[in-house]
Amino acid sequence: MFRRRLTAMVCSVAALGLLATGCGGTDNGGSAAEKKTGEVTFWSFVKGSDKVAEAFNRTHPDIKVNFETVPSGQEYYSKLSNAVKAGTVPDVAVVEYPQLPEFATQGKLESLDGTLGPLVDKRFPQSTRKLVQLGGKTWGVPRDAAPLMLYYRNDFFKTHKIDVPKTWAEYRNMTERVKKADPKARGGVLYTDNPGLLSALTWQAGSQWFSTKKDAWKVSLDDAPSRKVADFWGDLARKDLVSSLSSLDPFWTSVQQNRTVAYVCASWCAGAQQATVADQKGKWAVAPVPTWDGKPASAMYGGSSFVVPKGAKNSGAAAEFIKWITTDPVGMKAWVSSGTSSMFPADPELVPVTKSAFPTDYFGGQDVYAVGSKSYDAVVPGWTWGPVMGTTNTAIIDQLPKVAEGNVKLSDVLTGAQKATVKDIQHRGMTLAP
Amino acid sequence: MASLSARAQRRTAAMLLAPFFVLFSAVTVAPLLYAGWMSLFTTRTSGLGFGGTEEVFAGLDNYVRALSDPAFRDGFITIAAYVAIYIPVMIGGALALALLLDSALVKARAFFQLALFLPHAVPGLIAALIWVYLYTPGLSPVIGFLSAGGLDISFLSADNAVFSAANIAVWEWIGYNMVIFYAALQAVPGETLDAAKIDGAGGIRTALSIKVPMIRPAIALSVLFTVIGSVQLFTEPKVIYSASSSIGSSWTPNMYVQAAAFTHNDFGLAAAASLLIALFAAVLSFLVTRFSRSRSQA
Amino acid sequence: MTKTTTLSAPAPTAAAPDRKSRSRPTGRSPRSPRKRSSALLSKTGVTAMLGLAALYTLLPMLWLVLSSTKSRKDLFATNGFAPGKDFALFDNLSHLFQVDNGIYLRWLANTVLYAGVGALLATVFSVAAGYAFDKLAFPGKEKLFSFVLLGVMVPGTAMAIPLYLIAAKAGLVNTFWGVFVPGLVFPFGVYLARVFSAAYVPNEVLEAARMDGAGEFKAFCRIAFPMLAPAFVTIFLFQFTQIWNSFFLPLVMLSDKHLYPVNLGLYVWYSSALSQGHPQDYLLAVVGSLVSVAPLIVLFLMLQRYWKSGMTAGAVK
Repeated sequence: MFRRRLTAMVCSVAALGLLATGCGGTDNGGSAAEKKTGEVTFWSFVKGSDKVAEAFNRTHPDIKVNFETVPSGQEYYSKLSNAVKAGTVPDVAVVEYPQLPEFATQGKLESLDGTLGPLVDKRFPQSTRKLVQLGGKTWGVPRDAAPLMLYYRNDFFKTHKIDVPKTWAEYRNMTERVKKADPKARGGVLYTDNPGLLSALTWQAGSQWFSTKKDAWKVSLDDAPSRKVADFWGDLARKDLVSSLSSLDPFWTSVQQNRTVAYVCASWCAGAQQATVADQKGKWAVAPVPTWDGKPASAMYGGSSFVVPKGAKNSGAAAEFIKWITTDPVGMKAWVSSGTSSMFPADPELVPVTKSAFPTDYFGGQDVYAVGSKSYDAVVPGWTWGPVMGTTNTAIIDQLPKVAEGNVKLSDVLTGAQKATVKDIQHRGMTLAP
Repeated sequence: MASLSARAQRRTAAMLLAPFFVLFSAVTVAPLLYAGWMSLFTTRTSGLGFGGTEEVFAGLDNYVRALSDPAFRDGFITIAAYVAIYIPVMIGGALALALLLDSALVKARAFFQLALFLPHAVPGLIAALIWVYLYTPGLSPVIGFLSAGGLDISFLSADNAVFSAANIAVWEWIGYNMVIFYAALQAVPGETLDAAKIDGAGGIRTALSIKVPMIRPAIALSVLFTVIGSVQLFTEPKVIYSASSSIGSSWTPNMYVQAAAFTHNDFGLAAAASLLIALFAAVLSFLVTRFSRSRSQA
Repeated sequence: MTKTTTLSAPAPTAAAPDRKSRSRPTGRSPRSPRKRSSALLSKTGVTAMLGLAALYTLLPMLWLVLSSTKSRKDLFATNGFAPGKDFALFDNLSHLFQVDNGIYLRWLANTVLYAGVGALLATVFSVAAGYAFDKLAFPGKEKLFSFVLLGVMVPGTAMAIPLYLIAAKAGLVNTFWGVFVPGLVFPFGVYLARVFSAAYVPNEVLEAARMDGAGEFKAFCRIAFPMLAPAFVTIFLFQFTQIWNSFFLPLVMLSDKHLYPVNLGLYVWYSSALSQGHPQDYLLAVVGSLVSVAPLIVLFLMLQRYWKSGMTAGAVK
């Protein structure tokens, strides 16, 4: 009988358990760091990471990279953070620019001054260097830049005779015309779950949320340019001229269903757009992001760098690997070998490499990378991310959906985030500039 | 009893308890002590922060910070509101369904059991996807349907979040509790029911005055478990938060802990807050047990 | 002493969730339809009410089922409660099982080990401990028991980090054991087992066994354990679903994807799909979820049958 057999089985299992525990508790066998020289563990969620690791291993017989895929988002950063605490870090890890200062100020990264510092000095433009060099040290190596662009439905704009906006005033005009032409369609999005685009737009307007003065952080989330941008977008959202959506499924559904016919995004959106909404091929085009005064100005939304976490066991080989995947043409090519990534290299010399791998037919043959290059050149220098971005971002995200509901002003959201940020910086013992 | 037997009992008890307690010490007690230890420290740095960090003894500062943070305290108000809606709906609903299933008037009993239980088998991630879809204005056919009928409900607004979170939890758990109640009902002796029938009690009266009292222990246990689960409310509001962050990242105490640990990297605060939650749950479940015991003895 | 528990009605003070057909002798064998009439409780009325409830639980599931049959384009283009233009279920399935050298099957197998074997052992340990708390005399019993209850109150997700740091010291991070061992502990199961033991295992049966000279351990294995089978199933199910749904612990503990449970694997697919521009993974997460529900349904059906058989009837006689 089933019952009897179960009982017998369970009892023997119980006896086994008793035996095992009687003999001295839980086992402590397992991996005791038997690391061979030349092995590099590599954590990343970035598309193409597996291909890059493979390509590196093929061309570098002396080093073996073990790629481990990780989820993206806040969960990943807490995982990495805990790994540092526990001493179980990988040798190389991806960290997006906004998160980098927080890791650095918590002592969770190895300084790269002695290894890759000179390379960073040599290969990257100043505005990008500023994202990975903080407090006089180099903490990471940039992989991609994420300059802003305007994406729009060429067919929709043509049919309804809407001009592509060059300034933000024209952009507002455009959103009104889009809504008039099709009551369901909108000419933009204010993401409700992601403050990255909002910060990029304030960056473009000349704001500097964070800066360092000698030995102190200066926080100005609600400076004048920031407020200007917040008032502009808050108004668009409240008047329902742009939609308020989460940046994931709801956003892409709205694109697929022709409800979003224009939006501001970074260069990487070209690839994402093409992969996610494949059947709208030929209908989309890109343009420079609108500016306040009509003169070129841009900023970055996203982008990632590679770091060596504190406690990495093979930082020498790790540096070698990072160098190859960020500044070597062959390495760069491996990132985009799948053909659907519009990754824009942070190293301007490598743009031709990724450009040649990106098919342009989705955008009707348009030179997406040329638009990207111009935008990259126009990135307003001086921006740096802050040391408590988790707190800053959460403070913004928690209020963002209320802006469209009309309950909260977007500029007040930034003021609230300012307060939360200052409080957290003080709590962690860092100095604040007056 | 003879002392021989007492000794045998003690020896057997030790044998039977050992596996659990060895593992319990390693997996629950040790981390708990560790968390208690960490709750006494805070991480500090200086200047710009690039010179490294140190752990500083903070005494009870983390506890004071948690208790004096309105965000943490408001979490308990959220829980109270949630429990007030969730417990009656869940327990009442599961009980009603179990009684219906038990009423012998129903066809396809196995189908209904499975259908009602099924949501419990859906992985959390997908439950989230589904409900984000159903709650998001512009995507949700349900909202479209309701507004076509003149009913505009915003599931994701902070005002309705308690209801929306409870709805997800009911969806996931009602079948589970129903199965437990149904199993308990199956054990109600037939003679008792036959007697009631002879006395002329109708279906509904039999259900309410005979069956429900007989499975009261099962109900009490479910209430206890549901209350403890409610104090640790996390998954369902997290779903709502991912669709619309208007409820805030610290809407429930457990979310507060999560935010402290994972987005603010403030583990001392997280540890202090989670120990406070445990304390609160312990007191609450003590009260629930007391209450249900005095009720069942009445 | 609670000697009434054998044949009479369940004592209301002991809380047992699915106190079952202990009192089988006189009737109510397989529940035969009994005629009870009421204005409200007609056959159609009851079925309609249950049908409504089933609609509530099943309708959201329909999204999952339909989405799994859609092509990537239809997934975003069509209504979630309407079928897509292309029927892509089989394409999706074959993609699911082939992608990354069939990693999905590996995740499923891992999950069965973590949740299945883990919950089985956890249940054995819980039942053993719960029985000891109920039936055996030893010093410091109640103090020890309140200690166990404390374990029930601690929020599990908050303990993931200290547990991780301890596991790191033991060298268990990124190993099978790092996720498996924590699953073996289920304090609530001990509580349940104690309650069940009080309700299901009559003291006089044990007394009789002791008179016959059976050792305490033997009495537990041979006599008490079979009587606790329904308790076993209930506790097992509780812990199984708990491990099956656990997320934070595997997330911090594991970085080798070959060790992932299915839940975490699906999350990795989902989290990067739209943010990192490989939307095909989004569909994989959806189809993968549908498939991962299947084992739980099978388990439930199996155990449902188990519930229904009168487990303890023979042992009491």
